[in-house]
Amino acid sequence: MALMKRFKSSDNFPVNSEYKLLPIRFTELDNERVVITNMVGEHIVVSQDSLNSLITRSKPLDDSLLAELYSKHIIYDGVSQLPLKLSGLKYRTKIARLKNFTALHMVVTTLRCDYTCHYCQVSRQNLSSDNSQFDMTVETADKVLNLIFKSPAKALKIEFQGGESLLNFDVIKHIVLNAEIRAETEGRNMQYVIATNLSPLNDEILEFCKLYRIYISTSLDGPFKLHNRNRPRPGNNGHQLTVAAIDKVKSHIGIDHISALMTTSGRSLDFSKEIIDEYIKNGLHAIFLRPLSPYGFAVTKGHINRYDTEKWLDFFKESLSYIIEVNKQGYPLIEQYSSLILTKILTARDLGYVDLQSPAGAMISGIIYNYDGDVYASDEARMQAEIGHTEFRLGNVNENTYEEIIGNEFMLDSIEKSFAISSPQCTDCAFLPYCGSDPVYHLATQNDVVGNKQLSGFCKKNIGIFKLLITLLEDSDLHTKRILKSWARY
Amino acid sequence: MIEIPSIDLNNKALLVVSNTTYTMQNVESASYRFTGFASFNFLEKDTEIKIEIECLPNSDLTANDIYHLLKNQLLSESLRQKIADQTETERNLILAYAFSNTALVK
Repeated sequence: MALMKRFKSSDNFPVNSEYKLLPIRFTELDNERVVITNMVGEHIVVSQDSLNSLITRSKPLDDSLLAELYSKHIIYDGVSQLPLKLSGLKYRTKIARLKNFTALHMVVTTLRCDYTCHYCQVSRQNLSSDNSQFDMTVETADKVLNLIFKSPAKALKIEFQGGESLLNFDVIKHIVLNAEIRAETEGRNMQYVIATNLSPLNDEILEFCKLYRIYISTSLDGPFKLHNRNRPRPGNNGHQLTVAAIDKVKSHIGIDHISALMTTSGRSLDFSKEIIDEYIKNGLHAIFLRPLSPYGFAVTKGHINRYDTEKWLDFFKESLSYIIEVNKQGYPLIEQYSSLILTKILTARDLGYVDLQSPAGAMISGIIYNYDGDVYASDEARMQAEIGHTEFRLGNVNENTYEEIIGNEFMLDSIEKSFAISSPQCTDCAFLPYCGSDPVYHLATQNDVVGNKQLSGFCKKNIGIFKLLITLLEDSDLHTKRILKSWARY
Repeated sequence: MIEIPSIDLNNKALLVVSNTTYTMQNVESASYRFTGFASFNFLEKDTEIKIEIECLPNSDLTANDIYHLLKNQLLSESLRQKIADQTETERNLILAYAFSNTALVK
């Protein structure tokens, strides 16, 4: 009370109703409300009526709404330059990653794999296949390293992929050991990730991962029946091997060195609760809910047609609701895709997730080196190449220079054409600051790097998630809002 | 015997708007949002813009649905135009602040 006496009441500070608009976009959130965002993604939800009044000034806006519009940099007084400078600063922060260029380098160490996953998007080869034909050689690995270190980024992340990446552990070791030496000399910061099904994990690999702080990314599709149906392996023991190895990594290296993601097959749709419970049972605190992507063999084998984006969004909504409930009961569990998006919605940061970048993240944020030295703009571009669509093959480390690869004309042209800010519909969309352009997806699905967003599953999925998260931030109880806000990485 | 083609009356519609109220750009942007359901043809003459709407085969919406949705969408496009017109200077200033003193602008 004493403190309150020191301040005048808010009535003494009238809100200036003579405002000017700042550059904003709006999109319908539901039948009654619209989302307004400014250039850097600060948002507000208002009624359609308030939107009309805000723009046309046909009716006065109430003081509390005006105050919020000022604070979110949707409007300003037309005199002070501060809101413009702050918006400029935030915009600069959002796009700061561009000056670093490619930070994520994915290396396919082998195409061989011990699993026969139905939805596999690459042309995996059996274990019995010839190593020399489908494994990356040390010579190619050296050339890949040369290319990685041509990137101007001070912080480099190398992610090993497959097939089953650990089946060619020698090349992983070779790359890590040599990268460490070069990073020390050149003053770079290294991070390593091994994407693996974990079945080849042994003590030597564990020790190496611990020594070089290598992060493990694995797949856990749910309880054993679902996991083993989605991800068959000789002996039908994929689930058993995966959870045992997750335990080993947790106890030997630490829980913060491993995460898992799930791929939603048609049969996963009915098991959202069971999938999440499986993550909790295994002591994991993060889950990445992923739809099947329309690339490579997932399309030609027909798995992509078994459900549509709407069904996946229902699955996502149901899963997220259960995850929030689990958090409320005291078990911290983050849904990682939501976390990436909430960071974009609630902060000036951008975590550089490749799929949600404009200009496109392909090649700029991440690039992939196949086992044979072929370089692709993204993992999805490699998957497309497996079924003959090689448009996004940028070159080969054995044949092309860094400049030739990065200057690939088709890629540069695709990046230029697909800027979200200049794409029809995207340019007006309130969710543009959170979204991205994906020329590889749209070429794969519509034979056009820009794509008609009315027909785009990418657009439908992401707008569905943006609307869901903003609705939850707007309408939920305080506890839910607190949980969601805690997922944003400030 | 002459065969008379059957005409689905729900398949086509014509919307006429004043070009003093909406620009051709407004009309194009509004129509784009329904390209998953229909194809469009525009004709601007004197003070009018005629919008021919023809539903795609198996469209979930009828031409009549699109006619009404398009009218509402035109309002949104008109508001967007107003925002763009009112905020051009601010947009340029924000971008100027964002890129000032960076190596990108010399």
